[in-house]
Amino acid sequence: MSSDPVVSVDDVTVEFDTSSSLFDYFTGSAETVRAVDGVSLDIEENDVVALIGESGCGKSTLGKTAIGAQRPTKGSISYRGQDIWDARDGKGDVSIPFNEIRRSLQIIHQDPGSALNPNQRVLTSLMLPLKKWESDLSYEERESRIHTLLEHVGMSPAEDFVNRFPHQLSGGEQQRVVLVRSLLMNPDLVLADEAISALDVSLRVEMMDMMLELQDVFDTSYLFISHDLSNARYIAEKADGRIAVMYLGQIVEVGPVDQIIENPQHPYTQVLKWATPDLYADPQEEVPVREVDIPDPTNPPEACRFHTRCPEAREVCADVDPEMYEAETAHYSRCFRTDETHDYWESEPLYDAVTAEDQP
Amino acid sequence: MSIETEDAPRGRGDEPIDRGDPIVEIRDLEVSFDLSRGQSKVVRNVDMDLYRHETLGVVGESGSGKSMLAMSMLDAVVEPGRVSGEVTYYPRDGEPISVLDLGPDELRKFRWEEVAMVFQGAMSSFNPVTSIRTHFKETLQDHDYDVKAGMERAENILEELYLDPDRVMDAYSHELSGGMKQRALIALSLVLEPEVLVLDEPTAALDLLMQRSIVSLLRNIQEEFDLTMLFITHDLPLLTKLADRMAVMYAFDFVEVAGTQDILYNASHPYTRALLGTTPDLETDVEDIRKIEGSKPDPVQHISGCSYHPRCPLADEQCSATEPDLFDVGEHHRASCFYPEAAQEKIVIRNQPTDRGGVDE
Repeated sequence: MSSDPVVSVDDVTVEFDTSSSLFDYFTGSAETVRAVDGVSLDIEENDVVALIGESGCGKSTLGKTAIGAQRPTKGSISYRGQDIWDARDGKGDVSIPFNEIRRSLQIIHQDPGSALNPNQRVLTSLMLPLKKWESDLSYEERESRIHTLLEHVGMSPAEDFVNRFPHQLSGGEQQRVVLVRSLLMNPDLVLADEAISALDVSLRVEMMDMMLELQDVFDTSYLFISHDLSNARYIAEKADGRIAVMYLGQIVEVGPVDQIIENPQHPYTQVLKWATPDLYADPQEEVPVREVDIPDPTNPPEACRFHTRCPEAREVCADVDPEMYEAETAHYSRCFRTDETHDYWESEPLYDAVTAEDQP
Repeated sequence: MSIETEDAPRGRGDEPIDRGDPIVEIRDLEVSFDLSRGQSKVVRNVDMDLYRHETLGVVGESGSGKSMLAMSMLDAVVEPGRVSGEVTYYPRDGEPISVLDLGPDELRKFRWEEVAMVFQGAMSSFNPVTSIRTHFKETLQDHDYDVKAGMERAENILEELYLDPDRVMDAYSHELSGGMKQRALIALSLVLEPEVLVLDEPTAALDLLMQRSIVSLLRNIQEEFDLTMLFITHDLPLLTKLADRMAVMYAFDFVEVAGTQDILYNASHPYTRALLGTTPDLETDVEDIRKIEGSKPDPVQHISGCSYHPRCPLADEQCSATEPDLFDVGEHHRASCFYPEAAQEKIVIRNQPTDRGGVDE
């Protein structure tokens, strides 16, 4: 096994044109959305990275780019050292064929109901990928592999479930079938894109536990996308993984779970922490952002992207785009406040608006 | 494990509620659907009081019957659903109204002017080819309200919800983000000055940050407009930041009803306690967050005895034979369990703050 990361995202930018009509094309009013802007992220063997952020921050786009389902506008993605899109285009010396890369990088979507073909029984849905990729297996071998896995995720007896249609399964069972389908390929990385958000609260913990259990069996890494910091923390902490926080196309903070939770550096991470439900915490009344709505992603703020909402913003934040500063080992934050000697501390506060914290 | 409420962090539920002044009274409510495999009872003999100016939170998992409960408050259960029982509405002055007996015209007036409802899918609540302004105007016109005064009020409410009235009014629903749409919908529901606002999972499709923001805004709005709110959700932590009282629904009926602080610190039903213990947060040791064993009940197959007994660690013969009533287990605190003390003692909620101070073995 090489020492290269399973997936390495290097300075990747993904842009979409919003032009939806010919009219836009001729008048040149088409706008470009930079969904992902210069992101680098390595996912190692048996790694769990939880990617969190608000809707529209580009986390799904980054996830899809990381598994080679979305071609980046700039930058490169490599799988065990092999550039995915070079493999796809047959450029240069391809050491790992694109097909094998695609098979090794799988995805679970948010809505299991629409990820399964409503007209196919569970068995048929699960057979298809095996038929395509492991065509030397006999029908019985394929079937027994599916049964074993279904029983493993608690769908027991498997004979009862394989002949059902998706609508005859509960939401939790559907999501398990989708998980089984992705793991049948023995993937190196599974992108779980809000995979538990549609489940009932009481099922979420169970589903995350199951994912982690299967990680031990299959040596899979997860890129777990969520808007919920408490779920991200649960799965990443149990797997000794990392949390990456995304805001308007950029990763603004990344680090080991305990450091992100105990010592969040970026004001945005602190805001997300505020928004995370805690049954027994004192409710802090005031919303700690100056604007509750996320800015228009076609026209993101200059310099630090969070400065329009940030309760700590100073003049320098509107002029200079901060770089990633290292707070602790392997813990980085894209905020001047992490650098104790930065000019930020001499800069004037950008707004007079008082936040709850500043109030006497 | 008894906890002095004085030391506990105070959330909602610490203000006295005038229990002598209900605004909506539900008695013996039942909602059922006839399916090919049998009758499906999605609300079973529910009694509920909603007191004036309180926020009552109904929490339950999907399929527990909570949305149907809300729908029946407005007599809005769709065919072929059947509703029986009594829903009585007490206006500020005048005679009590029996909601389930209202004719179509009376019902139309009742629905927006007395009780308004905000649904989960704000996306589908607006007509995509009509501007937001038109929605407000038509609502006012249909109910014979003064449009000019009404629009001014609407703009104020929008500002209250951190929205720019000029921008929002001229927009079509696809031009607004999910959070903006949901807030515009809340504003629309308030434009006819209802007494009661029923919110059914109003934040479920939104980011956590927007959810928390909307909850804070709702609290301001409730005070400003003297509203009574019924907030329905599966999200227990969110509810505790908003509700004065909470009603926990399991298998189509309430299993525990109490003030929010009592639910948090003295929950007496095993299901409530399991729900509290399965909620991930940022503080609790990940090993202490537990899943709830078993699967949720089927509305067609009636479970004999206590509906939770197949999943309950404390269940015995009595639980599988006899259905428990909602017993009084404390002041204004009721739970449908034969063993409330045992539940408190044996089902430990590890994220409760008392455990945090001590050394974990």
